[in-house]
Amino acid sequence: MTEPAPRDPIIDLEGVSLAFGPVRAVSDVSLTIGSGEFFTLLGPSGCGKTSLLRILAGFETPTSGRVRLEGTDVTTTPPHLRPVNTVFQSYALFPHMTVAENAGFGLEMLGWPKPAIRERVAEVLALVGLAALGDRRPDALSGGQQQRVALGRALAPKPRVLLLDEPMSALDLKLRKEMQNELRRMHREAGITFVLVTHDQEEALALSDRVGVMKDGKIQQIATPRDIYRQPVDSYVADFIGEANLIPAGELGHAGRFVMVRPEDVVLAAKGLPVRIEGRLLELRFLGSIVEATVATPGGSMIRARFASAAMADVALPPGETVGLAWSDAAERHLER
Amino acid sequence: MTQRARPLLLTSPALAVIGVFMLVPLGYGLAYSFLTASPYGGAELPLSAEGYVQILFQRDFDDSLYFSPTYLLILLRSIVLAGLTSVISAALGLPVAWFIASRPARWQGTLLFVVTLPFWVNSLVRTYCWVLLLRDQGLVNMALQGAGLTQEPLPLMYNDGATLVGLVYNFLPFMVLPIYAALERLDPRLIEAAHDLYATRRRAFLRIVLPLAVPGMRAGALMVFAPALGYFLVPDLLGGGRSLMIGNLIQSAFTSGRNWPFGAALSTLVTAGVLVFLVIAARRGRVEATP
Amino acid sequence: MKRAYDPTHSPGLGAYVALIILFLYAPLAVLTVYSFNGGNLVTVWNGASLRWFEAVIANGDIQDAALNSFMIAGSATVLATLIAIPAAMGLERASRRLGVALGSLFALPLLVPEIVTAVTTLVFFASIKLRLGLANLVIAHTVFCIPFAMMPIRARVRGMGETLENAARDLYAPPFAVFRRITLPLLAPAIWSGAILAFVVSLDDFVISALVGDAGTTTLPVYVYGMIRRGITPEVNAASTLMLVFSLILAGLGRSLSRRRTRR
Repeated sequence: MTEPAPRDPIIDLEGVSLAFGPVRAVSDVSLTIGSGEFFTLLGPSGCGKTSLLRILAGFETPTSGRVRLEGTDVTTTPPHLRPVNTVFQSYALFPHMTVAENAGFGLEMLGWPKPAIRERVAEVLALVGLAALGDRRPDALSGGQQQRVALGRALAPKPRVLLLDEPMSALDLKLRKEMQNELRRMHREAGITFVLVTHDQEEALALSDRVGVMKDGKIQQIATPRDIYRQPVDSYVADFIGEANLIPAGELGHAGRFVMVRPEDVVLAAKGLPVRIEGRLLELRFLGSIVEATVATPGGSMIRARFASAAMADVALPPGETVGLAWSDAAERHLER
Repeated sequence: MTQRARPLLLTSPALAVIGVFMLVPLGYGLAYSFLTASPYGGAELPLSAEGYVQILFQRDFDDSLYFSPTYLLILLRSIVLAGLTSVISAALGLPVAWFIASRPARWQGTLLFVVTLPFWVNSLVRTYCWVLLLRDQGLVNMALQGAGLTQEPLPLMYNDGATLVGLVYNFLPFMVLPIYAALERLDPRLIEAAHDLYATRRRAFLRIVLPLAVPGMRAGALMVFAPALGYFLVPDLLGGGRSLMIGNLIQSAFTSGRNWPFGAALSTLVTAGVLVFLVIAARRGRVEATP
Repeated sequence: MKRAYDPTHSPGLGAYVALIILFLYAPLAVLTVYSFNGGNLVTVWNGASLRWFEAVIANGDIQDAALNSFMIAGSATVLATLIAIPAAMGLERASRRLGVALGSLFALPLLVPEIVTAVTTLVFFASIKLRLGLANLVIAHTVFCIPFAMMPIRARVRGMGETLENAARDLYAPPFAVFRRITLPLLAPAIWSGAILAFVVSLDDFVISALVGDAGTTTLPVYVYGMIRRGITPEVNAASTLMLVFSLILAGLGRSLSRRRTRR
């Protein structure tokens, strides 16, 4: 379910398309992002999310449609005239400049006086936790540190919008979690609009106010993390966000295409819930705190159920047994496509 | 400034310079090939095909034409020598390129530098070295005679063989580069995988290394054949008058021979031949590259 | 990692390469040794000496020829490099088809046999009655120096990608500032490499200088060629060795420059 447009829009895309010859990277995208919002574009590689970001930054001009920033049409405005800054996936730190010079570059280009630049650079480096490293060169920094410099450099000129292009894809898991928290903190403190592009749905859910899922250049759904998780608009979104069982509707006697239910909502019967469907237990996997059961329906579909392993402590279930699966009405969603 | 116009704008000075001072002269060369030779060099009207005619025919006292194979032989020799140079340098250069490409990465740059360094030396100097070695009083003969292996100096110079040696010597370093570039991408682990699958060293080389190297060898051969064809210094200093190549013919036509149209006709033919050859080879390379 | 059986090491390959390197360097070594021969005859060794080097350096004609060579090379290098910088950038950023077309055009000086370039340039200059002395040669040299200067610059532009420049534009740098603060400093080592390449190629040139130049614009290789034609003398050896050494020095300089770049 797509939410109504935010009250205080800062970015407005209207019918934006980007074509490279016969290939349509972005296909008729319209969306509005509110001031101060943390908005994420989510999708697999090639879905057009990076192209859309580049259009926002000004590196690509859409083949059709309008881009408005704070009400002003910036569709053809070059990047150096937009109050928008980007954190690049490869960080793009200038190798021949120090960290401080990198961070202050935008300010220099804007013509800030040197003392003001020094002050702001110190402020921003402190914000990203790199206060002592101003004189280092980028190649002397770790990946995580480089990313912070890239962030600081983009935040220094106090842009109205910050664009982030998969900024954490090069970091290892632990660092990524750390940076995600940092990013949320910085968003709160800076109070500016963040637009993040990622293929990591966990990241999208954890950080965003709203998420826009993209596929093949089109927006499939825009909603808050909670709504997009609980009420995906189609099987693509349902499958992309979290894990989903997509059961052909016919097997459950419903119209439409799929019935979606999340594995954590599926329980084995005899818990006081009516049995929805019976099937043969194929596999029971112990995953630490969770047990995952895979059940084959008579129609040939696989349904996965997940529950706390504590609940299974004194139940023996050999594979091959017929089991009943149940879930609440609220957990079930009917999808047309 | 649109994105599309920028490349043209940026390359326009180079385009202008090469267009005016390379393409236009080529056109002038073509034009001159249809003029008549002036008595003291240069050319003048009327238009004439004499420049081209003289390639194949000579005129008798009564102005009748008779077929003269002299220049044709020179053309043939040039093509054969240039072709042999390409083939031999490719064959000699392949193991070198493979050796370098299979060394640890930090050595490759240095090794490549050592092998290609001679190329940065003046071709005059590099050719002259062989004169010092091959002439009758040259090092090779002195050594042979000194060792008692020969009584008289061997005629090592002023023949096709000397010319070939000089050509190969000049072009070999230049050959190594494209073959190396083609092989550089080879992951040594592919070879290990091949060995893991019971391939002998020779078969691994033939089935994995060689196919990868061939495009590089082809590119190198192309870049060697064209310049070698028109080479002047090597046949001049090492071949003397007995191993003339097209380059010598053209040069003499414009200097002592005072027959500019003839030289221009030869130049046009050589250029046309080279360009056609390159286009065909490029197209074949592209056809083979696409599956 | 030492393996008992290393498939990348073929027995004898190293020896073969050593032989090839010997083949490449031995003639140059022979020349060098000969030029230290103190005697009057090239064939008879008469103690090591620098006298022929002194004779060559003191030779007025050689000095003039060398001066010509340097002036031409210097001018051609500056011109070619200045032209090559935008050309390399334009070429690497052009669309596929345009890039191929332009690339072929820029490769012409390398593909057309040098003798043809030389004579057609001669014909052209004679036709338009261009008689600017050294400037004639500067023009002719610039043409074939451009592709050489472009080579390292193109490689660097390709390696650099557009992201850094985009980052600068994103940070409010107008196009000229992007070039001056980002592109140029990052291209600098490649530009120097290209310039040295062009310089060496121009100094070494024989064919074009011989045919396009006239009596007053003799370059060093042309002069030495004349010496060789007149007879093999110790001066020829000394002059050749001097040219050899100078080329090697320049090549080494070019290499140390490119190595400094890759360490960044």
